[in-house]
Amino acid sequence: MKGDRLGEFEEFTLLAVRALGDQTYAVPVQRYVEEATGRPVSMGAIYAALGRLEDKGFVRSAMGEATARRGGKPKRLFRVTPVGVKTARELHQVRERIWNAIAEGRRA
Amino acid sequence: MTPPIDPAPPRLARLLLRLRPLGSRRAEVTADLDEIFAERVDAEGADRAARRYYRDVFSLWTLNLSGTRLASDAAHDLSHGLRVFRRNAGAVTVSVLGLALAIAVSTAVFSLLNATLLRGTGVSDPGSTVRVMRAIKDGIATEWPYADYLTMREHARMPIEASLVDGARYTASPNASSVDTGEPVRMTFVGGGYLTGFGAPPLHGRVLQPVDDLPGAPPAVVASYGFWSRRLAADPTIIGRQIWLNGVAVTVVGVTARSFTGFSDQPPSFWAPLASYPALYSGSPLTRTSRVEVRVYGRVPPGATRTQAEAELGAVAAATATPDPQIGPITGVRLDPAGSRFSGSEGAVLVAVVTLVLTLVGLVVLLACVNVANLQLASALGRQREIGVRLALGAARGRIIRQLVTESLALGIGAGAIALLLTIWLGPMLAAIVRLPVTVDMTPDARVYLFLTLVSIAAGVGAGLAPARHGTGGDLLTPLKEEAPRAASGRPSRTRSVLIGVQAAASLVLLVLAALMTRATIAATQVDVGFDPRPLVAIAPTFGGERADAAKTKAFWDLALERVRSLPNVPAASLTLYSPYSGLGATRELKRNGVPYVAYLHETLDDYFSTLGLRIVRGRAYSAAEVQAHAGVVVISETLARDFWPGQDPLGQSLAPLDGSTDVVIGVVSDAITAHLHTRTAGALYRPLRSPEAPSILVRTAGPPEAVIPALRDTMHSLDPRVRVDISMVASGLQNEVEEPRIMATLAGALAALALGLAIVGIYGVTTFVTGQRTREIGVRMALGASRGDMLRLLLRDSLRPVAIGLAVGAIVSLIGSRLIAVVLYGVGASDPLAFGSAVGVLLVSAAAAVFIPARRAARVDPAFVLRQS
Repeated sequence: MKGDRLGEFEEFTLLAVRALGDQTYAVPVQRYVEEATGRPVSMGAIYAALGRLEDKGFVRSAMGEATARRGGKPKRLFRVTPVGVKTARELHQVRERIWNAIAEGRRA
Repeated sequence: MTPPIDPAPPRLARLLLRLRPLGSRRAEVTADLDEIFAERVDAEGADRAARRYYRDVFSLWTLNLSGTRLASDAAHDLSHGLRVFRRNAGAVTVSVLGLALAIAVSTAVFSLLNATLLRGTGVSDPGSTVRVMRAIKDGIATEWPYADYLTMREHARMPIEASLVDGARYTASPNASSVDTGEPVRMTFVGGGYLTGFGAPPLHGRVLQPVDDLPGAPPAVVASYGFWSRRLAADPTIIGRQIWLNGVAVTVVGVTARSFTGFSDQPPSFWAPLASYPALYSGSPLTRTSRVEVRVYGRVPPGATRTQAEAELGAVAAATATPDPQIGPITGVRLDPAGSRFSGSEGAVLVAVVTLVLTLVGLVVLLACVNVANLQLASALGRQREIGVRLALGAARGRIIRQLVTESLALGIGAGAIALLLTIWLGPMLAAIVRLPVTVDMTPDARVYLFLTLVSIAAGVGAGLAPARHGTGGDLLTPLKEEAPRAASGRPSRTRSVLIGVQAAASLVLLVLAALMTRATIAATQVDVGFDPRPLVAIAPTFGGERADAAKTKAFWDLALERVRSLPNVPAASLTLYSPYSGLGATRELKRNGVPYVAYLHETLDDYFSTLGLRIVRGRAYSAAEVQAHAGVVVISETLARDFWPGQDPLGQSLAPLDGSTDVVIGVVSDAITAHLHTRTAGALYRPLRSPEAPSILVRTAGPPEAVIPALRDTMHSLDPRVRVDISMVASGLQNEVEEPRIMATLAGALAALALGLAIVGIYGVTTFVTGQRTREIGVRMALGASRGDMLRLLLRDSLRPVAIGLAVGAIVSLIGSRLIAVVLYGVGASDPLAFGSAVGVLLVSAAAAVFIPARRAARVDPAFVLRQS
């Protein structure tokens, strides 16, 4: 979890933001990660992950407009930056290479 | 069926969320949590949604949203620490509870100090307020005759206001017998400008105005916050209602602000205008001829210094005050700062009291901290391997120290949270023990919470630092070797020995204090006061100041005395200026070989000695004729005779060398202690009663005094229904004198018991740990032929050594400390051997027991088993 590397949970969070489209906020992200991993996820963990992702420049956030559903309360909208997309994709490719290697029966 | 209510998140969780600093993100985060809660209520049910809401709030507390590295480290350290604590749950619980109890006790004591001393007077612009006193030839007189005050106020440039404190009886409805049966309350009568000039704005209604203080104004009072909130049920509709004080109807016009206590040491129940003073006590209206004495407070005008104001007001006072034959001419005034309780003449004493009390509770907290430190130390040693590995892998030492300090800080804060709950019970308990007046508002304020927080944090950090330094001080390699922790050599480490010594010393100090106080309490109940107080009853006027004229007053008391003497079961009655243990008394400073010597001064009738029950040892008492003539004769106590004329005949001696008077000693009476027990000064002068004002009647009864009291009351009422008197048993006055050391003994005893408990826990814990570490050594020694007895002796000696050193240090500290409290030790020497001996004994036995149990357990190991293990 150092520098611009992604931790596992951060990766899930990043992908959730990406999957939910570029106008999502913490509540749907929490639900998405929880459903995808099958593990209970706390809001604090989501905020912390989003905070770190933003620090690393993988997501960007802006305050969204108030909606009636939340009683006019504000929400913070997140979207994935190009760097974030690139890093997630690279991570995926690394995994894919390894899995392919395993499938071919070779040892590292 | 009731319609489903839209569920809201749990209130406690909401509170925890509000307490979490979130900065600008609060609105957004709160809305997120609300939304997800509402969804979960629908999807998972209200209970599960509430539980998950709690989890989310806790996760916000433990995780940082975007914050610095330090915060996430701390969260990590904390969760690691909690895992370590769980492994050691029993010891952690005991240490934390001990620390919580110590913090709670110190907080309760602090809130008592806070309520009575530290909280300000609530007076506006306190820096410029002063108490005005009369400067006389050799000293000061604290009170002013009412007439002098009025004259001075007319001529002075600076504003001054008078106040007068007295007791009254309160009832909420008109009641014929309220004069005798109502609830006793404390009144402060003030000039019309007092509350507006010095006070904070009223909480309800209005404060007293100058118009309330005009003669004939409708009687109005202002309730103090303490009385209003506790006795008047904090009812704002009390404003405008009537209440009865001494059976007189008065109207409550306001409630003073919570912070305002006025200049006296405790807030009154009611503030009332001076003009209403006579009405409440059935006297004639206050005029310049009234003999009432008042306290005077003023405000130094802006731009002037206190010295300038003193000179200016002094000139006014010297020119206008009527000469007082008893104290001589007024030479000027003295202005003492009045805005703070720590200024003025009593300030130094208060500082000493506060320091002493805080030192004592500080010792208890120290003891509890040492336990936590010991726990952390043991845990740090047990974790040397873990720490060694982390250091070897490149962790910074500072980072490891932070881990250990975070852990003990968590312990400290946990203990503080428990202490907060304990304080809710301990505070009122303490107030009851010390009999705090109902008007004192002991509700904790921000200062108390700050104190609790700081003590908790300091305790946590303090307890964590020593072990942290110790735990990281070692080299990198040793801990990595498998047997390293067990190979750690022989005797307990220096740090641990010092901690044990500190515990022994601190608890000894508190034990000695408790033992001295207990001894003093017992001594006080056994003090030979020189007479039997049980058959004695005192009749004192409750309204002492206002009297028509000297001749009438004298006639009144002569007649009262005659009537009382004629009652059945009254073998004797006499007049004295101050009855025993009435809280009033006069002293005279004599000179013995140039050194001041304080003696009690009594002015009495001739038959006072037989009424009180004193023996005439030499010479004779003065006669009725000598009292009538104000003859220059004096009777002295045996102690005074011995101190001034050792081995000589005091009869016929003149008092001239002692106090400059021409009185001649005509008799010596047996010693009697009639004032405070702790002074234990039996040096006394008895003179014929001269002052016609407000004496007391001392009555000796045959049979139970309670049976005579109604007759005494009827007699006084029949003489003059307007006269109000206070009839009390002298024995109960003596009982009150014993009360003071009893309170001190209770408090000191409770502190000492807590301290002893903490010390035993600490010594036991450390011994268990140290002997556990030495299991291998013990096994080897026994395999080489040492007996079980040898091992037990070795372990006991090693473990008790630091205790013995601590005891020695504690004894020295106690010897010095007990000198400081000698003033309140009744009939017990400050280095009383019994008190010191029993304290040392109790501690030694307890420490020995705390050491013996784990030592015996360790000495019982099977050497073969131990050797196989390694």
